[in-house]
This record gives sequence, C-alpha cells and structure tokens, in this order.
Amino acid sequence: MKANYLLKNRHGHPRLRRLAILLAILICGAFVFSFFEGPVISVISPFWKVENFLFNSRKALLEENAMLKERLIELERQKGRDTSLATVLARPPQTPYDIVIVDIGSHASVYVGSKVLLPEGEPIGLVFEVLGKQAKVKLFSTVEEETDAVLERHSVPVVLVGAGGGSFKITLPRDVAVEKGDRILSADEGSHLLAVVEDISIRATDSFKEILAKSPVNIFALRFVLITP
Amino acid sequence: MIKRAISYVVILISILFLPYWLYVPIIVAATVIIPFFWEAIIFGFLIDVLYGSSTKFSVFFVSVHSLAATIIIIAAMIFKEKLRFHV
Repeated sequence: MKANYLLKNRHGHPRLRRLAILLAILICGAFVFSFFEGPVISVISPFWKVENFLFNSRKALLEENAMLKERLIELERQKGRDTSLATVLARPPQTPYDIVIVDIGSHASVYVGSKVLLPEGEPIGLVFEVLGKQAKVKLFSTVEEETDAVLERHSVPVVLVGAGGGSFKITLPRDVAVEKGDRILSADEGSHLLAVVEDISIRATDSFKEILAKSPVNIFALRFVLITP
Repeated sequence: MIKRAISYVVILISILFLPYWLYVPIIVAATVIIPFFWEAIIFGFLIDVLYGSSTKFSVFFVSVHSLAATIIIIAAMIFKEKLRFHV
C-alpha cells in the first residue's frame, strides 16, 4: 500500500464557500419569493383544479354542486346578504399550517377579514390574504389562532386556541363544569357550532384545567366554502 | 445530474399534491442522499409561499422550511465528511 503525502488544499475553503452559497440563496430567496407569491399560486392553481377534477368523481361533484346551489340560495335569502361560493384548491394536510387556498380573489369582493363558512353555514375561518384570483384562508384551528367562543353549558365565554389539524385548546378554571361532548359555539349572534369537547385534562395541583376540543368539520375533506364580503 | 433532475420532479409533485408529512421527509431524504442539495432551500421557500401564513419581506421574515433546509444541508455536509463506510 502506498502512502500519500500530498498536502490538502487549504486555500479553497470549500466548506466556507458552500456556506456562503447557502446564505446567499437564503437571503436572495427571501427577497425574491416575497414578490412572487401571487404569480406562483396563479401558475400552480390550474394543477390543483385538475387534481380536484380527476380525484372527485363527476357524478358526486354534480350532486354536491346541485345541493350547494340550493343551499346557497337558501342562505342568501335567510341572511339577506351576498355570499360567494368558492372551490377549495388546497387544504390540510397538504398545507402544513391549517391554511386553505380558495379559487376566489379580489375580483369577487373578497377582502382580508372576510368570514369563511361551510355550505351548511358554520364559520370555519377568516380570509387573511387576497391574491388576484385566489385567497388564503386561516382556519380557526390554525396553531395559536385565538377565537372568541361560548361554552354552551352555562354559557361561559371562552377563548378557543387553535392546535392544528382541526383541534383546539381551552384553559378554564377547574371549578367550571365541562363534560365530554359539550358544544362550543361562536360568540356572534348566529351561535354556530365551532367545536365539541373531546378530552379534559386536569392535575390535582393545578387551578386550571385544559380542554381539548375538535372541530365537527372534517377539514381534510373541504371542497367548497362560502365567503361573505 | 439525472438523480437531481428526478428529485426536482418528485419533490415538486409531492409539494403540490401530497400531504406535508410525506413531502417534508422526501425533501429531507433528498438533502441527505444528494450531495450539496441547495435546491432544498428553494423548495422550502416554495412551501412557505404556497401554504404559509405570510411571506411579506421584512427584517423579521423567516421562512421556516427554507431555514430548516439550510440547517439540514449544513449538518449533512459536516456528517458526510466525518462518516466512512467500510463495506
């Protein structure tokens, strides 16, 4: 076996050069991508539409469409205000932060803060970003998102804190009576169902108890939503 | 080069259509397998642009996925230099 006494090239500093490249990409990327959010989503949304079309059977879509149209007309009559029907392009678990992308944007009178409802009328989130023909919706279950609500039993006002994946956390004094299956309603005049109590954890030494609640909506299967201007 | 090109296609498709608990491990695996896979940072930005809550550029803007990708690339770089396989 031959010994190799060649000196290593210490002048090139390949590791430092690579680190510099990574940092440059990180900084430039942050700058470039912040300007191209709208165009990127516009380019990709047709692919999502094709995916929705391919993976949902045509018959089921037609049936649901007819049902939604009826429901929409009924809702518009009831509330006396305009709502826009939007198709969900991307939903959890495809999106990691409980965010939903819908195919409706500034052209349809959708604004930041517009309420997003299920076709059945229950609120599920708020629009937080409006792009050209798409909008991003933050669900109430987004991590650390706080929503005012009312615990139906004894009408106790609570703050629902999003825990991701359609789950919520609530912290309440240990004396407040709560049981599994209790309903948590929205604090607005509609009092819509937001979540159902699933688990209650309490330690002997704590003066508060932590309640885990689950949205009655399967956020992983959202296909259509209504958006109020 | 072909391995890189295939990885771009696979990762892009998985980001667009698969759940995050599939595409995140795919990107991590590509970062470990492919030498100096700097493209993972770009894919990280893409995930945050598509699905993130805010990408408005500011001093405080941090793309979580691209930052994580950078850390994994650096870690993979260091560990690959230290590791020796004797088959």
